[in-house]
Amino acid sequence: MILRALVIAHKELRQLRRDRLTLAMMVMLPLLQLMLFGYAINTDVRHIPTIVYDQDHSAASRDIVRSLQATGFYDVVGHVESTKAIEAALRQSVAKVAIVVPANFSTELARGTPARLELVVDGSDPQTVASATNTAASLVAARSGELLLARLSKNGDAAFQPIELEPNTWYNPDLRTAVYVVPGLVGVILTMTMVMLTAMAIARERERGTLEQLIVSPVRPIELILGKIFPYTAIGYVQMTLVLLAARVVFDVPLQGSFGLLYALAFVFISANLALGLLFSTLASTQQQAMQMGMFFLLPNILLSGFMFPFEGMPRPAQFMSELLPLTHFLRIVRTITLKGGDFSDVRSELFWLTGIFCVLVLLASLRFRKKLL
Amino acid sequence: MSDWVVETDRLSRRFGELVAVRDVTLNVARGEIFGVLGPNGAGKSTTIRMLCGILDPTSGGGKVVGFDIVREAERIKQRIGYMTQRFSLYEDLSVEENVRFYAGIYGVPLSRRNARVRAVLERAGLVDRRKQLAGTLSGGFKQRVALASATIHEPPLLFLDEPTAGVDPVSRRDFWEEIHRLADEGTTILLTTHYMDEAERCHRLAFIFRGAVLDTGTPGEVVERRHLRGAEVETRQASRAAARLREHAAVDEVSSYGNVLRLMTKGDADPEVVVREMLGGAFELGAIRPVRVGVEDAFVSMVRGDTAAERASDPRSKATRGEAGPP
Repeated sequence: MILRALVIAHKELRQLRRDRLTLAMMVMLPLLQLMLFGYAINTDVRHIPTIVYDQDHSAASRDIVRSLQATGFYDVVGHVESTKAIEAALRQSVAKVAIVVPANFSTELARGTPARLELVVDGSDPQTVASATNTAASLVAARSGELLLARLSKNGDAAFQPIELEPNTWYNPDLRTAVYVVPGLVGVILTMTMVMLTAMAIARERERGTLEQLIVSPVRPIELILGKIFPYTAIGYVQMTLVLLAARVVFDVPLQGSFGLLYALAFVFISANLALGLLFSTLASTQQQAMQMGMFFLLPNILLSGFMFPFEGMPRPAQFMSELLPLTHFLRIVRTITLKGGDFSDVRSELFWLTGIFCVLVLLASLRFRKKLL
Repeated sequence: MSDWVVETDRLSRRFGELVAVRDVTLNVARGEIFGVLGPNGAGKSTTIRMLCGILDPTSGGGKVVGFDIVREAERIKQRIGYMTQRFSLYEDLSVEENVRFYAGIYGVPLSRRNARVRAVLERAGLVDRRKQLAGTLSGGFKQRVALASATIHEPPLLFLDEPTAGVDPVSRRDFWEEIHRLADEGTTILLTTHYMDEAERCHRLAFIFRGAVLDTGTPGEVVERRHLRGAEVETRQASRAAARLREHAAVDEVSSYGNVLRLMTKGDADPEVVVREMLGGAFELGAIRPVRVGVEDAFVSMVRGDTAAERASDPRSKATRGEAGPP
């Protein structure tokens, strides 16, 4: 059984070696994705174009605008003198945020009555809204605290802040997106190439008629499947190593934890993807169809797996679907191991999920496969 | 235990409503070249698939190389060679790599593998081209590689599904010589074809039409049983003359070849007499020559007869259905 599987694997590798384009794609694809996701995608919002409508024209109003600007968050791109002008600026996307300082800002501050500061935000980009309001809110809170303290100390009491929050971020202290995204990329790239390659490998044999030739031979389906899967598993590991190396060298991602554990668990993940590719191949009759199915499958993976958008933010049904994707569980494994240095006990439940998904896929694929032979 | 390499008993296969193969009973002897003839969609490939053990019959059964086609399919697979209609080769592998791959798949022992690969390549005249990619070969050479791959494990029985489709006439001739050499060495060959000239090269034939066997026997026997006689006549007004000839009850088939009409008569009627009776006087006729009746003539006659019989029985079956149905 093993012998025949090896004959098929040998043939498969030989064909791959001749197929320069596919081979190049398998190496270039991870690198290209790495550059795209690693460099281009950054969820840290900074330098938001901002306009100022200062109705107060006082030292206090200029001061508050200056300190907002000092956060590095708001880039003041201009001053306007009417609400209409704000509207125009937001509509034309000249600015995404407008800071409005009402006319009585400084007098109210001096009088000790609550002073109002208005922030207009372009809501068409929710991520900007959240960042813009959060930053302004914390700055204003801090400034209010200072003012209160100053007033208290004038009355003779000692100046101290009643409660101080000391944020302490573990595992990714600089909150760099690359640290979060790049290890996850291992999973995305494996999903993409493994599913598509196996699906196409079988579809190609069907398209060219060589599958019929194999079916009349004494080859058993399991030998055929093993022979097909083996070379692609090897390719999967090469891709994984490539991405991890680049993560370390190019993006300076701190990789911790046991690589042995990561590679061992990756085997289950890769196998699950290959089984899925096999299942697709039994549904597709041409290579093109197989490729389209692979593409179609990729989208929910990127959107739902927690690769880009947090799992916690998804509605219940989406979370349920997310749990069914092998990538979701592999991402948790990769991040737990590489970023947190987690060990086996930390990822045990994810392994159970992956194994379960794998078994179901293999069962479905072999049922479909047998049927299609006849 | 019999000497038949292939024997089937009322083999049938349905696909839903469609009966692809109906009660096919065949016997093929050792060392025989057995041709299965029929138009496309007649059920030839379905029959071969059942004999190879990759498709179960809906009813009936059979034995191939001594094993039951349903229960012992895996044993059959080891002992047969199979060549598909499209010479399914790996186009991105070389000639030798293709052959070597099948040597591995059929488990040719490593000690003999090199010798076997060498032998089939030499036999097929492919030694000079063994490094060439299969995809760059002409149809004739692809066919040779496919045959070499199918015979790498020296199977006692070879299935060839339309082996000469898309191959030039010279290669076809070479191919048939090789088939006869294999048969002389004791290999049994079962092939399908719709080229009637190839049918004449088989030892025995089976005509399949709409899933059923219409006749079996040697080409000579099959032709004889039709009781046909043939003649050629030259005339300038070929198409009008043909129409006139078809009115005669004994005329089975008239076909035009330029200014020459080829005429087949049934019931051993003398074609020359028919021509003189129908065309004499009104048409300008050249010489009338007797022609040999071939397998093609026999096949056309049989298919026409079958279709006519069905047409005759059709209204009756409709009437029966009408009675059975609600008023």
